Amino acid sequence: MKRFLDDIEDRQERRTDSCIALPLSRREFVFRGSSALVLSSASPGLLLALDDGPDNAPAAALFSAKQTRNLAAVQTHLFPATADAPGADDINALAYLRFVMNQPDFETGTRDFVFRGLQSLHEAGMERFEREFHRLDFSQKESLLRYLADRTRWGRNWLSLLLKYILEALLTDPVYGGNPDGVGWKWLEHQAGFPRPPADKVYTRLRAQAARTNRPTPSRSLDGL
Amino acid sequence: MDYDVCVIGSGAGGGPVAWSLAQAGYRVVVLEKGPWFTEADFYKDELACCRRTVYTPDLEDEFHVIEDGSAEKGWKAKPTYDSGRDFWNGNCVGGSTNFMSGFFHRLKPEDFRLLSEFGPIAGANISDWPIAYEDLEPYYSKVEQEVGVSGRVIDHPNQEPRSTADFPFPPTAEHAISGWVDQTCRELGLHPIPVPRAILPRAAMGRQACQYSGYCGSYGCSSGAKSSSRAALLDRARATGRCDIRAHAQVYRLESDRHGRVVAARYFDRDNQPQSVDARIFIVACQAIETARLLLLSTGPRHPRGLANSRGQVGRNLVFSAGGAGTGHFLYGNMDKNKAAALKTVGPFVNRALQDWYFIDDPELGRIKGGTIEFLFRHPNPTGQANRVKNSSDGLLWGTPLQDKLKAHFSGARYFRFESFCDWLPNDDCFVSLDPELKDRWNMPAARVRVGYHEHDLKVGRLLTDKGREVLKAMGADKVTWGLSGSPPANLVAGGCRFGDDPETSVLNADCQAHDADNLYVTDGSFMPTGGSVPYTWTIYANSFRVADIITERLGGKRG
Repeated sequence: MKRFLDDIEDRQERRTDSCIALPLSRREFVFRGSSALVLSSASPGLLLALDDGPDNAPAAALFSAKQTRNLAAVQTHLFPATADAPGADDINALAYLRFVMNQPDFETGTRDFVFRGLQSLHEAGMERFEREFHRLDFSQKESLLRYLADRTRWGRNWLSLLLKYILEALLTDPVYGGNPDGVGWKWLEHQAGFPRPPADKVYTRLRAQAARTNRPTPSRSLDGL
Repeated sequence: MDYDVCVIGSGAGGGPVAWSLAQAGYRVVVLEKGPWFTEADFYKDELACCRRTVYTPDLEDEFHVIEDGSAEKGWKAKPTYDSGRDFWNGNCVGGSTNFMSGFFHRLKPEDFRLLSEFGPIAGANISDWPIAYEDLEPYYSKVEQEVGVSGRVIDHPNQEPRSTADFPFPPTAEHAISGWVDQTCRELGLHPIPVPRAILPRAAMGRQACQYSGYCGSYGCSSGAKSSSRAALLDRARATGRCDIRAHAQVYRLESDRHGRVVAARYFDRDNQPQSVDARIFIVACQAIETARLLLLSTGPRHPRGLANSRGQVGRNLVFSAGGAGTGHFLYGNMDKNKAAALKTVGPFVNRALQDWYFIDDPELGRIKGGTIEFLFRHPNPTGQANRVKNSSDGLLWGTPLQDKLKAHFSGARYFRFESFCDWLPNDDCFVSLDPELKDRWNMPAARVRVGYHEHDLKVGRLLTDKGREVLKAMGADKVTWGLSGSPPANLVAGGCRFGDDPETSVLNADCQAHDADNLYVTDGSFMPTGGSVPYTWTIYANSFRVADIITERLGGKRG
């Protein structure tokens, strides 16, 4: 199988969702956390500034109560439960996102982007409707999210990022906390592969098993060995 | 002397020499940069396989710099940590053979003499091989037996000569659609061939049979049925008691003496501490890009431009696999229930290809080299597919429009594909060099890869892609989408240290021994001056067995 269509697309997506439209390279985005950057916006109320360094990233608890309410409301709007389809709540989308963001391989820049996006969403909701996002009615939520997706690059990238992890919660192995009892697979009549990963062979464990130690390379001349 | 032979890299190029020489009684060490996973670590987990970095390095730590563009428009270099365009293919014991699909094809006799058969093409560095098909044929057979290839020989117009009547293993179980391909192709006057697979349909050689989970390519094999270098050769090499395999051994330099001979392999161990191993013979098999990089990094008193690079040939004439792909959408609603049920079956393989256009008589282009059309189902990874569904021409989808589209995509159709394989003509704009600025986690210059292609490749790819589309339409596909690109598939790479009789234009001689360094051999796909129009793995395995015999003889033959 040639790796230049489906697979390459997948790999590119997993690495660029958070910063595809940024005016910086990906490495700069991750490491240049201290410079204030305006990403993109059509409205002064939707400015998103990276003014905190990676060290200021929120702790493992991740989301405050207010952030949780707004984030859950966004996820539910993006992936609602219907008579046929499981919704964000049914697939544990919020818990799955917490799991993903708590992993050591989750990039600091992307993590920060999730929080900054939430803050900007809050500000946009207050500016337009004078209410927090989770208190808006369906049409208000839809008009706000559609505006952000269609008119701002950060908005499109932020919503695309949230959708990416919603879809992972829908379709990756239940061992990771999403897709409980294979509800997403059943809905889409998808036949999973086998054997399925046990808890001690999830990707985070495999990465740890495979990792090098963090001892630095000696600074002395390697040629002298 | 620590070892008789030091092999750097453990994939298709490293496994056969390691096993053969250990079996012949010589002390062998294999240095593999990645970790050592086994069947006990491989599960059908899309996150581990394809959406997180587990079997390849983090691109922040280790990366390539890819130069895209053209001679006319100029070349633009971008590191893969920025682009996400990952050129690693599997860095663990067994290399990328752990994750291959195992479509195995031999080259044809004409592939060994492309220049003589088809003449020169302006702007392409086509060269005949210094060996003939007959020299490699016994080793293709050896791969069938020792590595494990399943299949069925039939008469077809481009069947290559064989020394054995049939494969040692019968074909893997096949999907109903294989019969539909056969029927359609025969109605079109074509000759569908059963594709040999590097997969065992029954238990053998201490390995289990295929479990037919439907998740094969890109995944490590949980049963050992997939004929990876690790499962098929390295486990057996180790069992001889004469082969040590050192995982997490990142070789950063081959040390050479004032006579130009390689005297040591320097590497970083798992603790990132420098180590060294010496041996009588050194074999490099790191996959084409990294092999060239290692040689370029390994300057020495007699090799000021890099090991075996006195004529500046190392890294040049890198080749990928050219061609295109297409997808037929077969809607369940437009077929009877029985056919739909058969089409929904997951697990058995398609195992069908066409080589009717391996050689083409084209009214415009004349007699040219064509290629292979391989049939397969779309990769089953659901999250990857779902993420593509969310992007529409109208913008980002969510809510019920997204859910309706997901439902239709997954439950309403199956997607049957073809991929065309044709020669990637070697040219002056496809090569490996060392990046002048960017360095990896060990402060070693990264490989910079210019990936220029020859326009002729697109013409051949278009001819083959048109044929593939015709077959899918004739099969009744409701819609056929297709694409053709000069973008290189990172998992099908060869060349960069081509072998040949002239040291001015090649790095290796016909034995895959460096012209410039008596005790240095290269056994991955780097040796190939041209790639043929099929995936390379079988040829790399076969050539590595061939070189193993040459080295065994040089060392004094089989011991005891």
